[in-house]
Amino acid sequence: MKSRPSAALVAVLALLVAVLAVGVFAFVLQIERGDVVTGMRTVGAGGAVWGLYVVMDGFFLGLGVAVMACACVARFSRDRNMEAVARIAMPVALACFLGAALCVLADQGRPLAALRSLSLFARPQSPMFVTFSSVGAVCLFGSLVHCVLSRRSDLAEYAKRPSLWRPLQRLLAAGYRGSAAERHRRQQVGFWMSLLMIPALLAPLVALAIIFAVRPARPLAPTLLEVAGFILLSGAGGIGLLLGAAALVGRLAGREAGLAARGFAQLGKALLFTLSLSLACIVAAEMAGLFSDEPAVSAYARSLLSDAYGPLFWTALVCLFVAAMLLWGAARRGALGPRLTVTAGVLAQGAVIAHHYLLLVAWQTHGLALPYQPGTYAPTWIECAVVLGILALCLLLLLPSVRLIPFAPLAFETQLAEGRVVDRRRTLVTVLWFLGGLSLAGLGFALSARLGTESFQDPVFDGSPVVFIVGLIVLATTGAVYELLPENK
Amino acid sequence: MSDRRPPTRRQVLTLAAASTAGAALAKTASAEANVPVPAGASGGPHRFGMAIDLDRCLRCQACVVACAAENNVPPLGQERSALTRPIHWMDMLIPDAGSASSELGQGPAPIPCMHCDRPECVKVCPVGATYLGDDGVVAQIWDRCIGCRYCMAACPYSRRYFNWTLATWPGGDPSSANPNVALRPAGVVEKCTLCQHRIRAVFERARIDDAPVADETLQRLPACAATCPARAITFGDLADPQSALSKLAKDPRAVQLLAQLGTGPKVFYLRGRR
Repeated sequence: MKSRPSAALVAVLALLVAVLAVGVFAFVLQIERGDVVTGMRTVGAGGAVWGLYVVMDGFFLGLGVAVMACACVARFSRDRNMEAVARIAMPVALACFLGAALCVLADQGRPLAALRSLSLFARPQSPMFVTFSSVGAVCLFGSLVHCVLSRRSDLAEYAKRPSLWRPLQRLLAAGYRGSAAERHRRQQVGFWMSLLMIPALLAPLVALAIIFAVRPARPLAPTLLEVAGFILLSGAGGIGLLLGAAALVGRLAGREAGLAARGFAQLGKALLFTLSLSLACIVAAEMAGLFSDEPAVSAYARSLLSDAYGPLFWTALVCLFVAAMLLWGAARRGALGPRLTVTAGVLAQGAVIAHHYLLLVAWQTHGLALPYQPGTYAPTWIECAVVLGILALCLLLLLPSVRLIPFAPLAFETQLAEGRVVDRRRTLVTVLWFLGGLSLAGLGFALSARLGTESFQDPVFDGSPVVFIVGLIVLATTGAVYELLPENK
Repeated sequence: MSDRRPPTRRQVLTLAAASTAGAALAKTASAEANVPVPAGASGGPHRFGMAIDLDRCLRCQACVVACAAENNVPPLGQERSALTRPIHWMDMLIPDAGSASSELGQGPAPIPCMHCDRPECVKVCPVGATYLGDDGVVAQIWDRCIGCRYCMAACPYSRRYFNWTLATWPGGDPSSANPNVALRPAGVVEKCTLCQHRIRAVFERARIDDAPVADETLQRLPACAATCPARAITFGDLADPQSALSKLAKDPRAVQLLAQLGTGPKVFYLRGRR
């Protein structure tokens, strides 16, 4: 029996399509007229060369990494209450990664040339290479593989029901029979993929933190504090997003699909921890900047308290402080419920955007090493429309994926498979596959980096970065090879 | 039956952690030290740079205009001025008493690209669109640039410019443009090249004539130096210890902007005595 979509869902879809259309129109205008239609200007001539697009790239990537890391930790814990975290987190993280990739692309002066030049000549020495290659190959692709593999048992159950998505569900669950050996493999793959994904996810986040925080003339101490603040606050924002998504899923898809009260409490404690640490880092970085001997550093720190950025800076701090206090008070009372944790999560989201904006923009307008006139930056409607369009696209892609792999679990594995099933052929093929991917990635890296050359560091041959990316993709599919290789009959 | 067991998770994790730590240590040990770059260290026989005598400089901005005309930087005009996104490969910097530029003294100083020996812009470029050439010039491949503007954010001197829109010429006719310098498309970053096309022409001529390039030929080679009415700008080869530039670089008045950052700028300012 086919259910008709509700009026509310149709209205939301129509709104998202309209926002996407406006975003596409704005982006076409930007391509046609040049980046002059944005609010960005030349550094030193009264503006900032990086604006809303890069801020939102940091926001989306940070959120995606944090949400995916939560999913990995949840799968580690093998706690049945936390399984819902992994189920909800993975598609949300994928949407965030897609948003991050599109924001970077929108920021490029020549987006098509960027795809071509990055494929042919990308240099691993640049921090941007890590974000570009990791987001594309590891975050997006690896998370997709992880997401599908972890839900194959549910997909096999869903494929038994009539629906529009049934052929695709059958394809993704092909070969799954739910035997003890399969369940054992699923556990192993889940463990190892979760373990290996965490450092792979952290790499682009750290690289992005370096891009945001490392500036000429900024001393080491405030730089490290800013990097730490960026990473921790991204983590807080991700947990906040996850809390919001879990509450939404629980309301729309039923209690069995959502997160239990204990899950909200656990995530609330993690949010309190990351919020408190990030608040400390931000305050310490500001103090270090204010008392710095370096004129550019102290000018930047003062600008955060001035008329130019003061309101935003204090709003971010108040958001963080209020969120932390709410959580702390509730944790002491043992009453970390969904409503309160979601409120704190929303406050954290606002603080993340404000913090990233200040970290990126204020330095360009007020923290230059040479005495150029202070500048200003405000995004134009084109930038806002493009970012909203990207957000709408991510949500539009998220909706069908939720229909394909619904949040509610169907396959309940009541007991874990016991004993060790030795399958030498499977292990050998997987190890060879992994080594092949590692070799490809290593070869691509060495060819692209051309380590040892001092000046003009072109790849050994054009397209070497693609070899590196393919290697990463092969590595990301290792788990799929182990799990999907047919059994020896 | 063999008693060899497959490695446990703990053993695999320990091995992975040890490998990572080893790789990190090796990377740290081989990290580029912040040491002065000797003459010719950019890999080639030359290391071009510039000296600007602030005592001689009239602040007439003839260098700014000449640079724009030579390198096809389009005139701004009223309409483009309103967009507030000017391009000045050579600009005037007004030193500030409380900043790192105070060592230049008072009054505006011409400021081109510093053509650093350890350029931050080159380190961060994701596609190698900017590079340190064998002649010490930090050059730009406009066709390869993707317009990410990372180099602009990284340059401590803010000496890079982005083409926010397509260059337009008076009457829409670029026929007055210098045929030796390419016109840049919208969406790419551009910068001072030390008039590299002039340098190449001089050395090509010398190669054909089988004659060395005299230091006197180089001294006023770039458009800014050639135009300066007070001969305040001296161009030359820092790899040649006998060149006028090398001698000026050793002058007690010579300073480098933001030298403490370790970028090794090859533009020297001779502080004003007044």
